[in-house]
Amino acid sequence: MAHPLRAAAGITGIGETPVGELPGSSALSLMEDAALAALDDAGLAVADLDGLVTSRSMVAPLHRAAVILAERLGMTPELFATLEAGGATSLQMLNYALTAIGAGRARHLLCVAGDNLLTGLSRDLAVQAMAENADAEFEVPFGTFPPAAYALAARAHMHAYGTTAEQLAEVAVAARAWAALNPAAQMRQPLDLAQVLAAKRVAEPLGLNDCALVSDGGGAFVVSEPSAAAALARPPIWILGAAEAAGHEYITRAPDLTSFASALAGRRAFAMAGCRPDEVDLAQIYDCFSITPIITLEDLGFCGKGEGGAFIEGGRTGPGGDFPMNSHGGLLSHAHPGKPGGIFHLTEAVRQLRGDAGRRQVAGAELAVVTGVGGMFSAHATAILGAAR
Amino acid sequence: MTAGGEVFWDGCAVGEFRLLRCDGCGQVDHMGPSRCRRCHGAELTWIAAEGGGTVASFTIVRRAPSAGLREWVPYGLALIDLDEGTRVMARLAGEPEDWRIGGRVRLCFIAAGEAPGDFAGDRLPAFAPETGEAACGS
Ligand SMILES: [Zn+2]
Repeated sequence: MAHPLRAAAGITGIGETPVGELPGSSALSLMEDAALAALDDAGLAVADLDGLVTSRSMVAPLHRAAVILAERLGMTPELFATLEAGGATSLQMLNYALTAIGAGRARHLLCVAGDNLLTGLSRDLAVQAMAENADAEFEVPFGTFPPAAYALAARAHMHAYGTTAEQLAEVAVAARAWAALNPAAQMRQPLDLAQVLAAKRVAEPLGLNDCALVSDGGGAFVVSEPSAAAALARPPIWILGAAEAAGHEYITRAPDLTSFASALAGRRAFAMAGCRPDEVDLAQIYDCFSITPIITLEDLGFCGKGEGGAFIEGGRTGPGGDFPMNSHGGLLSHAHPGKPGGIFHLTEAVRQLRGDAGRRQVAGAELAVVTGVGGMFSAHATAILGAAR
Repeated sequence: MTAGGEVFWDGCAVGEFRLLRCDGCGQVDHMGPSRCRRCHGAELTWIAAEGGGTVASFTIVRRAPSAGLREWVPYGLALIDLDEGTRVMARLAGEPEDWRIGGRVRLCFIAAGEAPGDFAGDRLPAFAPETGEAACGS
């Protein structure tokens, strides 16, 4: 029997702000801009919404961001949630919206994330952000920060499976090649393997290009109940599967450094969608560091454990490759505004499944997988989206 | 600071790497939980680690995450599986060429300067390869 929430809702609108360095922007202004763009894309007005879901900001203390945004938009929402799962938040918002709509609580929900991490993050805030990702008393004093935690996983993976620095670099090179085709991307100048390998190391084995950008930017999407979606001009992109899984919070507590709760989130999402990894046309895999997609693809079952490095080798995830991944350029080359980071993986998947991706269009893209990771490989969410129900 | 953090860092000041052992089930844990993560018992006793362990993974940090750490890069950061059966984060000491996953290491304390937070900067736990000599250095 099909899962009751399979295709219980669809994505009917997407919106993005410019990304990169946006002087004068704020988390709230970026959320407003993205929200209105998504509503416009859907052909809906604020008055059509039953509620909204937002992520938190790292820069601004928007403790009830959803309530603040509702006030700004002139809404009195019945449902309003501010979620926090780091880079998994965008897909968590999707899952919340799907669940609420599937339960009959809403017809149209708006999901929004935005932050000005690049222009807004002072030194104090940066240190605080670092502390947010590690235990203040048992990890931070040793000088850990996100690149170091992901480096611990990367080295463990290299040691256990022979994954190479060149394979890690391939992830960054492919992301840049896609970004070169995306006028919206923050980093578009050519990047080759030699440059990635020669770049300064941040935390060995990870170098500068193995690490996500720091950006300002925001994105939004509208999730709609099927009959409400049918009244709109364009067919929705269906949410066929959506699942989450939380493992450890702190990297010291990870039961395994080469496989994470992404395996559970992935298995749940594919089971709900009733499809297999080899049926996917486009993979939008969270790429906060180059090691992240390698491990995630293994955990999701695209290849065996330890085979991720070989799986992405040879430029096959880049433009023209037979396994298109992160066609917007990813966190590595498009943008990474922090907690909203993963939202562009989702909006790009919708664009591709609509056939609207222009020069980046993946021919015949009908089924996409999208993943998000929060913390230090801690919180995971996976969605399977389809052009057809 | 939490009560657990205070006991741990007080231990470092006197040369001890303190762990918690559950009175109920014997599970040894780190990071100062108020209850046992296995049986959820609240009766926990502080013990001092014997000091031996194995490297689960490590990195060499070359770009300082904060201004306070800038003069200390590069430094080795590791996850160590202690012989007591729990994993801990600490610095690595000794020669980087001796650092390897699976390598045996032994506890020492290093002066690491301004670690973030109000911690005893001159008594930071580190682990040095057992084969190296004068491992912790100065
Ligand atoms: Zn116990």
